[in-house]
Amino acid sequence: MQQVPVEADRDTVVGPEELVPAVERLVAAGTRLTTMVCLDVDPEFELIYLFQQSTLELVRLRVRIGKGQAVPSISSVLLGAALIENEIKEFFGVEFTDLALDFQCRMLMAAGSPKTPLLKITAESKFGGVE
Amino acid sequence: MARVTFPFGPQHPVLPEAIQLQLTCEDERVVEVLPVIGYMHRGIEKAAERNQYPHNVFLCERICGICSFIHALTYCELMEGMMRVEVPPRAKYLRTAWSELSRIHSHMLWLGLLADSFGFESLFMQCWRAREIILDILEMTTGQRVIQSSCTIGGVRWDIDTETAAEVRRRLDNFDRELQSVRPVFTSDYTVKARTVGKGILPREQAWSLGAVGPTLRGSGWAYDARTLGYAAYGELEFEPVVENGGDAYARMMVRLREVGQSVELVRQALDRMPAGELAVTVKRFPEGEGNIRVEQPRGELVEYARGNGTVRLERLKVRTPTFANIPTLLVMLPECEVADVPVITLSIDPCIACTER
Repeated sequence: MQQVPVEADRDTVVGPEELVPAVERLVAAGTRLTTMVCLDVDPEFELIYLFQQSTLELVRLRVRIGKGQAVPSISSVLLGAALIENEIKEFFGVEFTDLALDFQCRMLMAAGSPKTPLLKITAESKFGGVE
Repeated sequence: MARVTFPFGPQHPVLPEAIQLQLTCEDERVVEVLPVIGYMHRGIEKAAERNQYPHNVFLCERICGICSFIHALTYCELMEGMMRVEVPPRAKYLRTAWSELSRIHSHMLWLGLLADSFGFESLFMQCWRAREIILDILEMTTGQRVIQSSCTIGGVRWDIDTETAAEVRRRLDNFDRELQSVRPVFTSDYTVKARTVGKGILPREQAWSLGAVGPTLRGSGWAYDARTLGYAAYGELEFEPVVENGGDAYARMMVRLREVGQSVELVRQALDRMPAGELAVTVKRFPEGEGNIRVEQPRGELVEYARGNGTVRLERLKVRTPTFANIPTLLVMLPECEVADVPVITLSIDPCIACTER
């Protein structure tokens, strides 16, 4: 049974436009969302959608989007995804279109908190780059 | 009937931690609910990127004061898996024993809080008195009652010798007697049943699709328990997931009550079958690549994801706690209930907000 690694044949890369149909297919097959992970891999974001079957097997979808690019929300298919998407929006600044429940970046942090705290700090983001 | 929206929490006598439910009601009937969190976020995932990876064991076990050992265990097993470290068999059994002791004291704490939420003070005190026996065992075997710090990457820090194991068994027998005395109250008492049976129903299909985990999922008929994945020494012990089919607060309570007895048996099995040998191996590697792990906490499945780059610091540590997965189920459980039932139904998912917000 999978624990730490996930087999390559259960790890699929999809484009943002293919995401919702891919999730719908997984849900129709009895799979559900476990969690989503966002990674700041400059100059892109990598979103990993971790799904599980009732047999405890894991399936992963990966989406890569450019910074500033929006990704479709899957909360219309799986309402439970809304909280996770709100957290990613708040911590990374990733925009989700058609989010079922939008906390406007106030789900976990207060108005005076640092913005997008999980973005990687690079020399460019800290000092604005070198001319 | 005019609709009224009012806040339930974040400070409320039945809420052990700060969460707000914005309830919209018609008279005494709840028609809509919006859970609001954000009162205790601590930036643990960010801190985990700044720490050296071995130090994150101490960080992770501070995510929660109830299941602290299991948080540490999860992180350690994830790091060991990523670095292909083989933990000594004795350490796996010790981890299992401490995990189950954590589950017992978490469930007893919750059973007491549930009794307290409908004013059954004597039952609350009986549950917490029994729980003290387990906390004493944790203190006796690790030196600490709350944050044990007994798990480390590569194994465990302390042993349970033969004499101590005999004392643990004796105290577990005492605990079992206490448990047997409260069990009939939970299963048959009029007050308990009146406040829990038929309250906060979570249908089987919605439990799955909303992502419910742990007793919240198993109370709706799903035999889903991450311990069956076989981490630590679970793969070598005999147990079956505890399942109830009612889908209501009573079913979730019964899952936890039965799991207490199951956990006592698992501690005994772990102590009886524990092989002799080393407690830990030295780890001189750095995590590289990515990995994820699922472990069964008292409240449900804890999921961690990590990405390493071959250095002493992780690029990312993601922690998905069980309450985070269970909060959406309140959107199904609470509408159409009476306002007076909101505390019991909310408690029935055993919310841990410190875990949720990290």
